[in-house]
Amino acid sequence: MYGWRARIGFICPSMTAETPLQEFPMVAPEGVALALTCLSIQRLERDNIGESLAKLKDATAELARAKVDVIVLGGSPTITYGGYGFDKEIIRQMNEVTSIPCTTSQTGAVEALRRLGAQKIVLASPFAEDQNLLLKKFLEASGFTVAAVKGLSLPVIDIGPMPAYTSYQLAKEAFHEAPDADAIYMPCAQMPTFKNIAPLEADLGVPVVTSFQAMLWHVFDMLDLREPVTGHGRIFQTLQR
Amino acid sequence: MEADIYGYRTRIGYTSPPAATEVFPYEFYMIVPKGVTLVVSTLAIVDMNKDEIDRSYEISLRAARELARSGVDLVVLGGLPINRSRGSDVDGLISEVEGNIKVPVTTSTSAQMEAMRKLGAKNIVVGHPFPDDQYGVFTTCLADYNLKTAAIKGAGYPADHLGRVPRSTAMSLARELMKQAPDADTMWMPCPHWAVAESIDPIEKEFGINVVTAHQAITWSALRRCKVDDRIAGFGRLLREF
Repeated sequence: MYGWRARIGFICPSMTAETPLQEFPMVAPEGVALALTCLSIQRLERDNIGESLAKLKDATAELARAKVDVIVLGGSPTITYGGYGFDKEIIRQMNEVTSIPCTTSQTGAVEALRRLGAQKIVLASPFAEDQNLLLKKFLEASGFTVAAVKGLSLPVIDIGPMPAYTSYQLAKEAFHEAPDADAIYMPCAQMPTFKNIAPLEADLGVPVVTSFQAMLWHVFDMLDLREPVTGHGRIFQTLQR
Repeated sequence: MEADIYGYRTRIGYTSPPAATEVFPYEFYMIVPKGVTLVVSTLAIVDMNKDEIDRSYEISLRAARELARSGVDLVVLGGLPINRSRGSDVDGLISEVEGNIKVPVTTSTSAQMEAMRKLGAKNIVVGHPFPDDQYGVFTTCLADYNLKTAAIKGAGYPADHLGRVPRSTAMSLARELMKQAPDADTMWMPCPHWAVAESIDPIEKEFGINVVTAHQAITWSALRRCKVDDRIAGFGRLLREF
């Protein structure tokens, strides 16, 4: 099998997945595979997010049936939906249907920012103001100062085919609003970011944490995968013993 | 010059029946050239029981609509049993869905049968990952396209085990099947969710036959439909020559 070293079960909150499938092979060590299942978010509206979360246990059970090694729910809106601490509630719900370790990508992002010593961050997001506000509150409740927020107000369906350079420009604009920030955070695994992480860290001198990057770092850490991952952000350096 | 988006050459949409979709994207990115991306919507079809197959058209249509909304260049309706859930008129299904979503559509079944035609297949051995009692759907499909099943063998795995099928399984099946039917001209490996891509060239070389796998045929058909005509080595004659 392709995932002879580890198999990661990924619950993609939206109904379609594109960027994570493209970016996963850029960092995955040999023998690590991703098993995908999609929920049904089509619009970042509260009702649609709630309907999708109602399918979480079924999705978790399916990935558990496939005997993956870890299961992770993607997305920030799926967590900020319930406010600070909701990631722990989501993990509790997932653990009701399986004993396989479960987590969320938002949990991974917060842990990544903490591991990098971030305190004052800027948020560069594809979301609209309502989702950005919820995320800002979540991050502040998690102990960070959010010094600037830049959003693109894109419908979720338009995030995957975004030009790859857009997240670079967005992050740079956000950072220029708060140049004393000590980290940049870019949520949403559907937003192409992997080609921009190293250039941004080099150009701006601060670590960059993105949703899918932090999720992979978090699960690699959980799975004790310590092989060096280079060119996709400082956070991966913390995996090495 | 590198263009703006990952899928700057083409973006291919695929409705993926299994809730846990693992091998399809893995092998897709082994094969396709840079600039081609995959957009997946999983259908959460778990047991392939009658109720699920009966509902599968509506589930597939909903996913296809969302893929169309994302702007893909082609939608591939996955799942041979699903493609044939309302009968053998797969062309009718394609026309109906294209009319509904206004994006070019093909099916897993059409791609595989088109690959058979292109390679001149006549006498076919079938190696699949499932238990032996599930052979009917494959032999019936071949018969509907006037193709002869020379021998068929399943590896015996349940649907939720597809991501864990050993990579050596395809070659083991090929050796057993070619003993049973040494005059076969083609090996068909239906189901694009078990690891077979690396076995295609070795099987073609060892037995002097052509190999059609579901994944390879879907990828080939989708690339050619989207005008990506690169000849790709390493995954059989189909992608190398046609």
